[in-house]
Amino acid sequence: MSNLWDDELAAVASETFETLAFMCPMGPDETSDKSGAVSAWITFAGPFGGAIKLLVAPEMLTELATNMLGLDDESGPPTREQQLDALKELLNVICGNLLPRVAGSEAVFNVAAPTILADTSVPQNYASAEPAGQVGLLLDTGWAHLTAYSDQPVAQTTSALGAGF
Amino acid sequence: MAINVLVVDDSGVVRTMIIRTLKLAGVPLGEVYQAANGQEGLDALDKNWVDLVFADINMPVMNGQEMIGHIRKNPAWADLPIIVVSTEGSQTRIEQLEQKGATFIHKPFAPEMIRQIVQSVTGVQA
Amino acid sequence: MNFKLQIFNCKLKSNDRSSNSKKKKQQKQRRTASQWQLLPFPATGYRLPVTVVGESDVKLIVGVADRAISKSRDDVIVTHALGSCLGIAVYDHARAVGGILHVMLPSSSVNPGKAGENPYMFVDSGVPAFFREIFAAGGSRGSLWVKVVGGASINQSSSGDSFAIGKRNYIMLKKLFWKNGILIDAEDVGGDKARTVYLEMATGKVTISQGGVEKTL
Repeated sequence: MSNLWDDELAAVASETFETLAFMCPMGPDETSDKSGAVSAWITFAGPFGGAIKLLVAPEMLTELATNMLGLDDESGPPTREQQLDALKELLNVICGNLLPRVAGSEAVFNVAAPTILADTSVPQNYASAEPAGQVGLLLDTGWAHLTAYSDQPVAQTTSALGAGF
Repeated sequence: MAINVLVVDDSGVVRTMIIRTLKLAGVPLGEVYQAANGQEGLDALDKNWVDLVFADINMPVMNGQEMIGHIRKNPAWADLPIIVVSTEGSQTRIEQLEQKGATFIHKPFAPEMIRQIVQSVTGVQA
Repeated sequence: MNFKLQIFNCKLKSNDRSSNSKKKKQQKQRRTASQWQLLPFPATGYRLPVTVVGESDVKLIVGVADRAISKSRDDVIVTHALGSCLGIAVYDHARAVGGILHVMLPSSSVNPGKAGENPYMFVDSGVPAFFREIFAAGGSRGSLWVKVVGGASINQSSSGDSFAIGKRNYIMLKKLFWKNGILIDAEDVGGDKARTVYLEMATGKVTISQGGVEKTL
């Protein structure tokens, strides 16, 4: 049984990959090896606080930045800085669009600037926290995993989609 | 007539996307200034003539809502067109921004939306 | 003036025995000459002269995985059965050069050989080829109207539209357009019903028919 956070995280993440990065989720991902993944982190505060961690396959970063910037062959590949900036912005958009879906359109949140983590571990504040929601997406050129944390108890709801999809 | 634009967003990728869209839309661009937070945005406005501002909301140092508040307090910038480009989902905050004369575009944005809003805000047919 | 709806096939009747048979034969020959007028581009859409009430339009019909381009203000270009497929209508309003592309699938990577035979089957091969032809025909980027139709989810099975071809076509198109600096002027995409789209070369007007309802895009 999935919960509201699982369902909304899956929906928002899919829509953001499609609209911002022109990448189509092919289905749920539960088996990809996450070693070597690039990790981004974002926190928010408001009626409740929380955070979202985004892990992506490293080979996806070039396409992510290329697509967002609209680079062509003559422009050359995106720089490492652009790749990481693109990843952070992707997470920023996912977070910003998720919050009204789980908290309502009247709630006001302050979202911190996303950061790139040194490794795939969860930062200290949430290291032992139970995730509010999780989703794994299989994409054309890799995979992405999102884990959301919330200080607020998570509502349980049955979704016909199942966890993540 | 060329338009001087200020783009304020902590993401360099987003600033590049907005500027690229303005060029594709055929907006007659003059100078394009960039800032990574609200304070840098105010500094850029102090030093340069700007006809149009794009602003994110969630930024470090000074957020976009605070920056817009400072802009509207300055009589010289009372009517400066401001387009907010943000993931902001709170209807409360969006209305506060609109009451300060800002136009809101939700992220992720389609470049066509930027074109349409710029045309309606500036009257420039791109 | 009332005109009878007359559709001439490429196989014309040759045994007309009316008293005006000679005159009619000459008329048919003249129609045949214009009917078979070759387009100056490698367009493969076939041309049918269709006379409709109050109008004299020549309709250029674009099939699936094909395109047609015209420089004649007399032409009307049409493509049918846009379900998950995308119809891209392009019109240079300064030069009256335009066309419609009808693409089926998003990426040629699934079958590069097929894309080599017919690039118009795939969005990522067909769209660049189509635009190159538009520019070669005299179209200019600065005066192009670009309108997009289709990308529906036509679900025939109870399991749903698991491939989401229509949406994937649209996403691939948006990616290509962003990379190549093309902005869409109007679109009618998604939903669950097929569409037909018409482009009038005289004006650049694009009309969509869906479920028996017509509207201008």
